[in-house]
Amino acid sequence: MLNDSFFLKFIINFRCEALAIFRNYQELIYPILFLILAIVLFPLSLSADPFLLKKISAGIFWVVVLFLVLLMLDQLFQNDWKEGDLEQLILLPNELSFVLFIKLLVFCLTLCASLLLMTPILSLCLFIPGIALKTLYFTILLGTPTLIFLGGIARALTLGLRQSGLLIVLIIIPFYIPVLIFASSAVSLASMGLSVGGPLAWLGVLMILSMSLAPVIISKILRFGIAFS
Amino acid sequence: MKNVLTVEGLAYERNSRLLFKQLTFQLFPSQILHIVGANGSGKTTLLQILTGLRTPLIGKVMWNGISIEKNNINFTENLLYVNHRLGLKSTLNPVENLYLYLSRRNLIHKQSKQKVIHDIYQVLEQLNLRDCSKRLLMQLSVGQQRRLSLAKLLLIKADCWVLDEPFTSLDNAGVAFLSALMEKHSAEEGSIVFTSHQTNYSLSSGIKKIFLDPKPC
Repeated sequence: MLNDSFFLKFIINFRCEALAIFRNYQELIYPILFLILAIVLFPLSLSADPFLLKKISAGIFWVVVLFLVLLMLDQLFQNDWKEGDLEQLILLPNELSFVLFIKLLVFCLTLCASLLLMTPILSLCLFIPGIALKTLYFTILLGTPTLIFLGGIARALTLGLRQSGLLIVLIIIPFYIPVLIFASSAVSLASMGLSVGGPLAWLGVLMILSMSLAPVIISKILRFGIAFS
Repeated sequence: MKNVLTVEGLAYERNSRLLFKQLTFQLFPSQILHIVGANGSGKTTLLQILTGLRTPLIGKVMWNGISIEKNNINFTENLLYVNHRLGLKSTLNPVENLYLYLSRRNLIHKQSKQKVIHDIYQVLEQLNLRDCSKRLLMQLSVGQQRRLSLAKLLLIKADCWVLDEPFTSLDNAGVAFLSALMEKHSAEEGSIVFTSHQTNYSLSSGIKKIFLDPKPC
């Protein structure tokens, strides 16, 4: 299967999905602004005491990232559904999982890239020490794909509903807890100067599992036609 | 039996209202089926069942004598469904849209890339959309978008066309063009299912018709 035409298809799909997201960049900017504001609020409201913030900053950062992802999940597949693109995709059973994977991957990469750009500034606000910055980057790279791919499942389940925003949140938050625990504990371990191999490895495991299984599950959900009833 | 769409004892219920029951018909190559009905009578729902997007309450849809759930791959390869919501991305331009769709149907290979782009431009020329080929879909008018969805019919070879309200928001020239296209397809042994609420179109060949009753709300 891994021949030229496969790569060509990958590139065409990837390019078109990326273009579709970037031409709709407003939808990306507002959540990022929300992230910045929410994180800046913490030092303002708690106190700008470095010792206090150092203890809780990792948790704060990851909770806010989690809310950001929840905010953005509503957009995932939304346009494809409204424009009837998903219906066309469901009728191409060989392609469905593959295209879904690319859709999620592009979504995830845009989110990761914007998070990575913001992190150095935001970590200053929260007094995350310089030695933990590298680990913070790693947790973002390994953690957000899991959040997005798992979220895709919840999104597919709620596609046909009118008021789906809050329902997605309720469905998916329990599944986000492991990522939250491992990611924030990795960052706080790193800021104490301890080894972070364990939590990062677990994040990697979760990422590989969700990235490989979620597209298949979503394609099954869509093919059952739950979204239509 | 080649390329026969068979529907047996179909029934479907929406919001506890029965849309249709005991619906049985067969569609042979070069036949055209026109589904007529008022708004809300279940035309689109019926098409979604025929394509396999929805599963019927009772009854089954078969392609070449095998149920479309089992015969999935074969059926969808031969099927071209133009849905009501167009199925085109509004943030891409017409060329990108068609190119993406063709690649998803495995019709683009490395050596034929240039040829495919050339074909797309030719089809756009035919549809009078050449000037808009670089504009995003959301900047086109509804009629132009509708025209663009016809480009799929010209670019892809499929035996069974399922068209949801293909004549809406087309101008006279567009309607004539589409009618000619459908007649040509039927002459080439293809079958067509389409919906609309108007009852008569100037298609010269014989058309089967199914009338869906309007449902009280």
